[in-house]
Amino acid sequence: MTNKAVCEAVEEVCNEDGMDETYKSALATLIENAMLDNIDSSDIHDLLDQIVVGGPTDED
Amino acid sequence: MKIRITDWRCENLRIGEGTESFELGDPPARWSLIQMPNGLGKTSTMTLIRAVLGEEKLSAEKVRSFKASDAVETGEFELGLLIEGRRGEPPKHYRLTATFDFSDGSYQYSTLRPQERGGGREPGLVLPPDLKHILKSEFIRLFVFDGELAQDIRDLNKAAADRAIRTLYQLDDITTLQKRVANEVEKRQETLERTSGKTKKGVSQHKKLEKDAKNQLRTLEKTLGEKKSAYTQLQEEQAEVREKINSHIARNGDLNERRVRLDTEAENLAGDIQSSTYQAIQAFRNPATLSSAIKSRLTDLGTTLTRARLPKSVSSDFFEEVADEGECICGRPIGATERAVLTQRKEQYLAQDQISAIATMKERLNSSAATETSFLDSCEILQEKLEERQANEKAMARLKLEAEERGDEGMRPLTERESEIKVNLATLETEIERLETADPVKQREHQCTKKDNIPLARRHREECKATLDEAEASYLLSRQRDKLLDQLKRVELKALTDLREVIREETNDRLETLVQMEDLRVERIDGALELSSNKASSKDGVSEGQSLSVAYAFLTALLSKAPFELPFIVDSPAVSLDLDVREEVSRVIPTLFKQMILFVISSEQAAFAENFYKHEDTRFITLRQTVNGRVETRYGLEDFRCQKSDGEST
Repeated sequence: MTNKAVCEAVEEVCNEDGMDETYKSALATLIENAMLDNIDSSDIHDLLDQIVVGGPTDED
Repeated sequence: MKIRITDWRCENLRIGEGTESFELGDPPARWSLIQMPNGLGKTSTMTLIRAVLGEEKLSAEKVRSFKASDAVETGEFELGLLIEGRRGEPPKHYRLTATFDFSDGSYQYSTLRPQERGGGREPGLVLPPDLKHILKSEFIRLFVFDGELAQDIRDLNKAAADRAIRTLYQLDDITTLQKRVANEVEKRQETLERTSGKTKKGVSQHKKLEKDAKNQLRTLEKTLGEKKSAYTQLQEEQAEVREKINSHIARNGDLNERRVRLDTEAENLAGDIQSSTYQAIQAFRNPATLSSAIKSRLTDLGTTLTRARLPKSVSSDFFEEVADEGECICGRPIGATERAVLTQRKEQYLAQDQISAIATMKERLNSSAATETSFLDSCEILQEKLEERQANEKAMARLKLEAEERGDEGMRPLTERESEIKVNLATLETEIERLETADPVKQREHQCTKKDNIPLARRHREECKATLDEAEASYLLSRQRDKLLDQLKRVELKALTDLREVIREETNDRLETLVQMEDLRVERIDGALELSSNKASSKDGVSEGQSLSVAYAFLTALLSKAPFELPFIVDSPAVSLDLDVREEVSRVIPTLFKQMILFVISSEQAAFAENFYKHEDTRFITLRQTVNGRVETRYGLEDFRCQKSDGEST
């Protein structure tokens, strides 16, 4: 059971970054599971995979 | 989740030799007032409660400070807990024990879970995992209240207020999660063989290398195309030149006959050389044909295997099968001992596949044909054919010379061109082979590199591409990690900021009741509590009573919002308070916690403890020292009220 303040902070940060509902929910779940000491590597990598970032350009 | 303290038991500790128990009820009373004179171990009891709850490390000196007297060598402290799970599960009893050996200053923690299957005494602290994060020394100081904390929560350098909020609301777990994310990404990047491209610059470098390798491969492929085209053109020209030479030779009938014969001979020799080469290679692959000595020894081996009737028909597989059966083929039972021996000794026999391999080898040895051509004979035949071809080529050259000498002027430029073409074709063949051979032996022979050999250039390009792919993946992962870490940091900070504000407001609501004489308020929480007051004197420093009031207000505000109901244990809560403040504190704090354990001295009865007399759910425990120095524990209000300041009853 994640505290309300943490849930609201996740909501706010995800909105600022334009993340979708799926990501928002996944981030909240990761934090909740971390608080229950119940995460493994795949939980982290699954969330990382959902983050879209641009690759380096050819001009670099 | 609710946590209650039901009792504790001291054996040979500061309170005195022997065993002393404190029963708070089951379920425990909401308020327990334990009146004991100074020197009987209030501070030690508080320290021991904190120690067993937090599995605290204790120095040998500290351990020895707990002992009742020099006459005792060992001691024990046991704390009874009643814990109710989050999902409304029935409460369970836990007993946390610290066992001390005063002689060497050692100690041991253990847990007893009487209601759990297999919940006998286990080493260490074995409590529900949900409690793990709050049972840290610093946090335990909040509810097993350490008087120094009242100062610390206002000390900016110690940031105790922030740490309390972070611990209770598990914000520290978000910090730990950030470390875990960074660690996981690092591990993933380490698994990539080529990890130099974690940065944008690294990726650009790999991109350039891959581009260069791609261009190099394209250049080589283009060169190969050009050379093959030149080769084809030269072959066509060679055919034309030869045609012309033949037509010139044909002008002389005798020479033409010789040419036709030499051409036929050359054609036959080419076929013979090909088949001789094949035979020589085949002979080289057969050890028996390499030399008569090797052949003789191999034949002897085949004979020996046949004579010795090897390989034996019984394989290790047989014994394995027998071991798996409950009975031997002779009818005797096979037990665990026999099975172990069979399994061990089966290693002395060959496995079925090994037997098959040896049997095949024996068959080959015994059936080696006496008529097989030896390697040396094959080489001799090949050598002969090569010499014949050389002689044929010389004869053809002489023939062309003769035609030229007979006055055919057109013959010379043709033969010269034919020679040139031959040289050029040979050069092109070498160059093409260097460019396209994938045979490692030939690559070594030509000293090929990725700059002049297409397969090596292709492999280099594939490696560069793979490195680039990994570098890009690694770089992408680094950026994803940075983004997630940034989000987690912001979540942590926002949550902390919000919680600080919520708790600040709650604290001020409580302070309004606790400190009515002045407008003492928490201005902000930033690591510590920063106070403001309408009285000039309070701006520089608050009194001890005010300090305690602020601490109580903060703690109750903090714990009231927590997902846990914790007991509150405090030593001498009112001793430093003025009588009017005591009245207020004693009126307010009983409502703040679901279980309070208050160690008081007799002087705290006035205006504080006496306000609990009217509360029904209160347990009064009084300790006093008897004339013979022993400690006596009494339960009930009467004894409590009669206690005098020296610990004796009135």
